[in-house]
Formats: sequence, structure tokens, C-alpha cells
Amino acid sequence: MADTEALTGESTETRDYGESVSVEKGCFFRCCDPRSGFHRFLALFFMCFLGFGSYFCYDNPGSLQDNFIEDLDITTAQFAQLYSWYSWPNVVLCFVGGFLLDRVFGIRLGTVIFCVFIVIGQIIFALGGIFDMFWLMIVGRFIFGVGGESLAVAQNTYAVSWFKGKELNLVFGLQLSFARVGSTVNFLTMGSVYKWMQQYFEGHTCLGFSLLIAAVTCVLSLFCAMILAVFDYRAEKILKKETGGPPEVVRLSDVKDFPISFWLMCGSCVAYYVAIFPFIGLGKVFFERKFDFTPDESNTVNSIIYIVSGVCSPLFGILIDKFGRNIFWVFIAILATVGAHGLLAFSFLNPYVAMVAMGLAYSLLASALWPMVALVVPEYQLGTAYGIMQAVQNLGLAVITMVAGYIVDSGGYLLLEVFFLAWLCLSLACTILLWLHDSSHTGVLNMSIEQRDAWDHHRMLTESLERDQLYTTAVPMAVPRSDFLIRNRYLSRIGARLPASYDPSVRGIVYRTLR
Amino acid sequence: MKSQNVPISICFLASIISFHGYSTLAAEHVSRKFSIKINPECETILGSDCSTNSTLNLVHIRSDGPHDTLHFLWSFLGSPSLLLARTPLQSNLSVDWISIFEDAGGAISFEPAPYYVFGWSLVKVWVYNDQNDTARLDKADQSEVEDYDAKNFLWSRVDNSSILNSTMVRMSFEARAYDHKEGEAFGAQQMGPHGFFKITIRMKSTEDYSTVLPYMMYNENSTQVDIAFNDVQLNTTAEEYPNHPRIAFKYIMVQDNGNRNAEAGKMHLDVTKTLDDEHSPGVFEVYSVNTPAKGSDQSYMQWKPICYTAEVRDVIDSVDVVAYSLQNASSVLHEDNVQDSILWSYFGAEIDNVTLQAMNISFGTVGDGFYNKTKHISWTYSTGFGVPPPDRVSLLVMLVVSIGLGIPVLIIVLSVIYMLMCRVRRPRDDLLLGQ
Repeated sequence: MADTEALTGESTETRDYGESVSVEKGCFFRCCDPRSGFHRFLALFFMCFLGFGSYFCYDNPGSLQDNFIEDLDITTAQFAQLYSWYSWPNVVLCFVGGFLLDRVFGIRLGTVIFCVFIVIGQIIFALGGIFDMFWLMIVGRFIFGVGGESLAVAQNTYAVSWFKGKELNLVFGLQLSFARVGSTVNFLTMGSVYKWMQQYFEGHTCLGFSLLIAAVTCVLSLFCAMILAVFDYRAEKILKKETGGPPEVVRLSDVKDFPISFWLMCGSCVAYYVAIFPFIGLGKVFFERKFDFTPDESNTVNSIIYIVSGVCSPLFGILIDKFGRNIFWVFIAILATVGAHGLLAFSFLNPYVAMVAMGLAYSLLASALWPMVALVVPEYQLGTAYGIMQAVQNLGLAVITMVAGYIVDSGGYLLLEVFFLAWLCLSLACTILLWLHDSSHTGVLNMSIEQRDAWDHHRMLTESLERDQLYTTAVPMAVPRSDFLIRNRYLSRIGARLPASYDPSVRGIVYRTLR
Repeated sequence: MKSQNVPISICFLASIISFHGYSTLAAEHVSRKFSIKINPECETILGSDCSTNSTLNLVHIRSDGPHDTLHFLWSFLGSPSLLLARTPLQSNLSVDWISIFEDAGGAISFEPAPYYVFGWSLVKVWVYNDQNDTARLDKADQSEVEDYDAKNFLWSRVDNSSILNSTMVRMSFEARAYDHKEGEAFGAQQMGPHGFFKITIRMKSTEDYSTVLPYMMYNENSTQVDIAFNDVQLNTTAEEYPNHPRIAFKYIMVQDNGNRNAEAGKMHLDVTKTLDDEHSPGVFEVYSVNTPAKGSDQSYMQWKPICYTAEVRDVIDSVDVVAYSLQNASSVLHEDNVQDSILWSYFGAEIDNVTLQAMNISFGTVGDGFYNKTKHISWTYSTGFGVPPPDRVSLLVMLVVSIGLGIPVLIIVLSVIYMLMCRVRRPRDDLLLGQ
């Protein structure tokens, strides 16, 4: 408990509604105790590596671009298909994936299934290389994509289920930086792997076997998924997480009942991301042309955004864990990005300044925005919610990447920057509306941690009281009036704090906020 | 970002104000009417059908305004050249064809005499071996720089694409053979099966942007020149062909003001950086050679430092254009090729008493795979009287920026007002807070 207390500044017991059950015998080590901070961070380790394989293999074509084009004798346009066949299907599929995660598979089985998809997808991709069949590679990329994006949704859902109300912002930040690590390790190693394989094979066979080696990282992810499943199953058994109470079932029709604040978050997320990633895609040439950078310098300044976000995301996560007020940080992040894009568009100032600012802003936004979803959407719908957000984001990125390319060709980089600024302004508008909407309702999105805890507590209490009244009035005879219940009623009436193990089924309905 | 935006808005406003405010400047934007004559006065010597002879090309474009006449005299006799003259309204061109073929001075004249004359000529094509991939002509090993006189290309007019009317002119000239005056390959030789060197000229009587990359600006005083240099094989044997070939051109430019040796008699190569690349995507610089002012007259050659490595121009297939410093030229030096063009036909020996300078321009970017990767260079420049037409920040950019920033600001202002109203009303609800 000590870790949690150190982080939250208060005793866990006071925040625990139905989770504190005596630990089963046989747990001698702290690392086995699902409630200990150490155990959680062990789980975090596997959660981070869960996405490693998918991020590593996603950028395989990028790191071996010249080899792909040469060995397979394909055009640049065909090469680009390797990426578009990954992203376009996910405009729909990761929404479906998120829904299946909530409704059919459950998070444990779902994650394992998605991991199996990326393993199979990558192996088919590699086989396509070995047998020099480009269509088979496309098929492999497609299957890989089906698993990869849904896996990201599963990762988010896992993070919420283990870290809500604890270090969630940090975890989102860490997962983001781990995605960058995966991609960076890929760019650093794949060249050498290819060279090593060249001793034994040549041409497309060499490429295929290099990709097959890359598939090892996907298998690693699959192992992580299995270990996490065991962890999660065990934690649920020990903590009796979902005992009692009817399980909530998510329906597709729930989507229309998602709060307006969720849709505003989606809007702000998409409008922001389309001003970052398509820009990075076009950035290299922009720096060469406008700032007279050499190709190498351009690559460096272009990738600085990834480096900065890789380092800063977890730090910003900790910051937000400490101060709360997510929406305020989102607002600041968008404003800073407007400034950075403005500098790039309307000045000749060294682009390192703008790109570092953009990297900082991007990591701040990612650490603050994604966890907000869990504040407004109940936990049993989170898979669906994150799925929608990811799907809308994929749609935005796929469309805007094409539009951005067209704008550069026909209207130049100033117009492109202005186009991105317009998107950022839209994102800003969404955020302001979200802020207004939130402050006129619960105000939970912009609470400090203390306020959020107090609000949480108050809300729990009210709902418990309502529930208690329901028990005593609606079904008076169904439940025998044990001393335990009478004491609870009394405590409830006087507004005192309820015992921790009060009613496990409350958990299914009352979802607790996180910071 | 707002503060960055302000200067642009101010510039934009200023340009509107200046356009309306200085009607004297605006008066120059009068529409002019073009009249075109191919091979003027050639009939007396060369027979009645000489103006339809596509291999003989001296094109006289006369642009009549209310106060003066601008003459654009294009010549593909000898090296490709343009002679610009501003004359009184009724001034006429006279051409002495016999003197032209004898390369004698004074073959071309205007009556009455012009106020002002400017001219340029593309005199040389360099093919050099860029062994170290520096993409610079001046860093190449001088023993590996081959020069080809531009007058030896055999030019012919491509009549089927011509537009010749009073508001618009478009003509193309193409060379597919090169006349080797000496050496083993003596005589006219085809420049390879697909090789051609093509120059297209475009004029419009209104101010507008061109419809082809890099979308340069036209006005009634200027001409756009498109150059395409496609798969040209000037060396006759494959072994002679350099491994890392790059192409460069040499121009000479002349203006009829006297003090050629003083600083005031020198042309300038100006490089202007702009924030706005809307009209030529990806290009943030404009190069121009501006001649010294002679009274109120001056001229320019202006280009964006970009050329294209495919016949269909695309931003992706673009490489840099490098300009080298201006140098004095002289008719005494054979290598300046001053006698190769109609500039000599107009000025004669007088050319050594006026401003006469030479400049090299090379094509290629470090790491682009050299000329033999795509074997194509397409480049555009504009040339004309006065100063180059200034770029305009488009209304679209201004509109998007102001609306984009306006909406969030509006929401913030409205919400602040709303919150203030709530504050004002709050004390009345004070008692209810106890609930």
C-alpha cells in the first residue's frame, strides 16, 4: 500500500469501495499481491511490451524502404500501399475491435486474439517476401493491421482497468513513449538484421527472412498478452472484482448515448492529430526547402518530435497525475502547437525551436487527452469508446494525409501550414466547448486531484445512499436485516463513511473516476 | 502566431492601399496589344515564303500601349536571344538580313531610335562531370567541363502549338540536332533518338499567374521562357559521356547604358526569401538579375531556384537551380560568344561600351542521381521591363487564418462574458449553497 499512499497522498482504504478483501493465502511476496504497487508496475511492464511488436513491425517497410523497392521491384506508389492497406481498414475495424473487446471476448481473450493476428499477419507478410509475392505481403499487412490497431485499443483498456484513479496519465504517457521506442529500435536494428541475413540469402528471400526475424517481436507481444491475461485473471479472483451485481453489457446502440463531451474529445483529438502526423510525413522536404537544411539535418529535426515525446510523455503523465486539470493541459498543449506551427509558417526562425515546442505539446496532449475518456465513459464501454476514438483518428489521418499531399503540390507549404493551423483552431474550439460543457455540468475534467477525490467520494456516497434506500424500500423482505445492514443504514443516514466491503455489486454500476 | 501574422496582414493591406493610392504606378497596368511578325522584311532576300520557313526564326512581337511601344525581338538565328526595346509609338524595326547572316553589327535597328534597350542570349551549354557530387559548376574539375555553343543547335519552330493573337502569345522552338563545327563528328548530328532542346515563350497582356509550375507571375511587360533539355546526347561516343553529368547554361546580358565600369553600371543578382510559397510550392526563394536603372527604365530576369526532372512537371521531380555570380563580358574574348547572337547584330562593336555581363546557371541537387538519371531538365524564368511583378499573399490564406483564429477567440470571448454574467448573478444564490 505504501506506494499508492505515496502517490495519492491518502490511505487506500478511504478510497476503496468493495475492493479490499482479505488476500488469499500463498501470497508471500509483494510482487504477487495484486494490490501492491510493485505488482501493478510489473503489469505495466508487460503492458508496454504488449505494443512493442506491433510498433516495431509497423515501421519495418519504412526502415527497409530501399531494400523493399529494389528486392521486390516495386514502385514507390506500391510501397505506399504497404502502409495504406494497414491504415484504411482500421478506419472501421478498430471500432469493431473495441466493441468485440467489450462485448464478446473480454479484455484478456481479446488481447491474446489481437496478438495472434499480428503474429500471423507478420508471418504472412514475411512469407510474401520469401516467395516474392507482393499480393501476399499486402494480405499480411492487412491482417497485421486488423490486430495492431485493435491491440492499441486493448492496451488503453488494460491501462484504465489497472491504473484508474492511480497513475493512469503516467501509464498513457509511458505507453506512448514505448510506441516510439518500438519504432526507433526498428529503425536502428532492421538495417543490421538485413545485412546479417544477406550472408545467407539474397534479394527478396533475404528481405522475407529479415521480416520473419522481426516477427519474433510479435511473438514477444503475444507472450506479454498471455502473461497479462494470467495477471488480470488472478487479480480478479483474488480481489473478487466482478462478484455479484448484474454484469453490464455494452450494446452497439450505446454509442449514440455516449456523452457529448466524449464526441468533443474525439473532435479535438482528431483535429489535433491531423495537424501533427501528416506534417511529419511531409516535414523532411519542408525543412530542406524552406530552411535550406541538408537531408540528414531535416531528418533529425523532423524526428525530434518523436524523441521529445518519447522522453517527455511519462514526465507529463506524472505532472498530470499530480495536478489533475486535464482539460487545462489539453488547452495549453493545443495553444503551444498553434504557436509552433505559426512559427514554422510565418517566420524563418530555426525550426528546432518550433519542433521541440511541438514535441512537448504533443506529449502533453497525449498524456492529458486520452485518460479523459475514462472520466466520462463508464468502464464497461471503454473498449468501444477507445475503439471509436482510434477509428475516427485513423479516418482523419488517412484522409488528411492525402489532402495534405495534394495541398503541398498545388498550394505550397504556406497553405499547408495554414491548413494545419485551421485544424488546430478547430481542435481548440472543440476543447473550449468541452471545457464549457464540462464546467456547466460536473466540472470533473478540470478538477485538481483533491477536488476530484472529494467529488468522487461525494458521488459514491450519494449513489450508495440511493442504493441503500432502494434495498430498504423496494425489497424490504428480500434481504434479511442483518446487523451488518442495519449498521450500514445507520452510517449512511448520518453521512458517515461506509465500510470498505460494503457492497461489492456497487462496483458494477458506480465507476470511479481517475485523475 | 498572431504577432507573426500581423506583418503579413499589414503588407497585404499596404499592397492594396498602394495599388489604389498611387494611380501613376497603376497607370502602367494598361492593357497592351500584341502584333506578331515572323521574319520581318525577309521577303526581299529570301523569297516570298520565308516567313513560313520553320528553321528561320526571328520573331518580332510588338506591344503597343498608349504612350510607347515595347518590342520583343526573339531570335533563334545563332544563339537563342531576346532583344527588348522601348521606343516611341510609331517606331519601326528594320532588319538587314544580309548583315545578319554575315554576323555584322548594325543589322537590326529601330526608327526612330529607342529610349531603352535590354537583351540577353543563351550562349553556351555546359556538360560537366560532377565527380564529387557537389552540384556546382565552379567546383568541378575544369578539364571535365565540355562547352557547346548554343548557336550550333539547329532550331526549328513548332508551329502546331503556337498561339498568336493580340492578348496572348505562345511559341515553341525545338532543336533535335547539333552542328559539330569541328572534330571527328563534323557536321549536324542528331542528339540521340529522344534528344531535344526546346524553348517555349509565353506572353499575356494581363497580370496573372502562370498555369504551369512553378506558377510564376506574368504581366504585360514580361515574357516567360520555358526551357526543356531532354535526353540530349552531344557526345558522339558513349565512352566520352561523363559518368556524373550535369548541365549548365551560360547567359550574356546587355543594357544600353554607358557607364559600364562604374558600380552604377553593374547588374545585380538578388536573392529574396519569401514566406509565401503558395504559387510555387516548396520554393521560398526568388532569384533575379536586375539591371541598373537607366532613368526610369530597367529590366530583369527572374526565376525560382527550381527545375524539374520530368517532362510533366511535378514538385516531387524537382532539383535545384544554382546561379553563379555575374561577370563582365567582352566581345574580344571568344569564350563569351558575344558575336553569336542578334545582340551583336543590334549593338555591333558598341557592345563593349555598354553594360555587358555574363552568368552561369547550373541544374541539379546533391544526391539527385545526376542528369543521366532522368535525362531531363525543365526550367522556367521570366524576363521583361521594369521590376519583377510582386507576389501577392492570396486571399485564401488570409481568410483561413482569420476565420481559424477568429472562431476560438469568439468562443473564448463569449464564454468569458457568460462567466462574468454568472459571477454577477451568483450572490443571489448564496443562500441555496447550503444544500
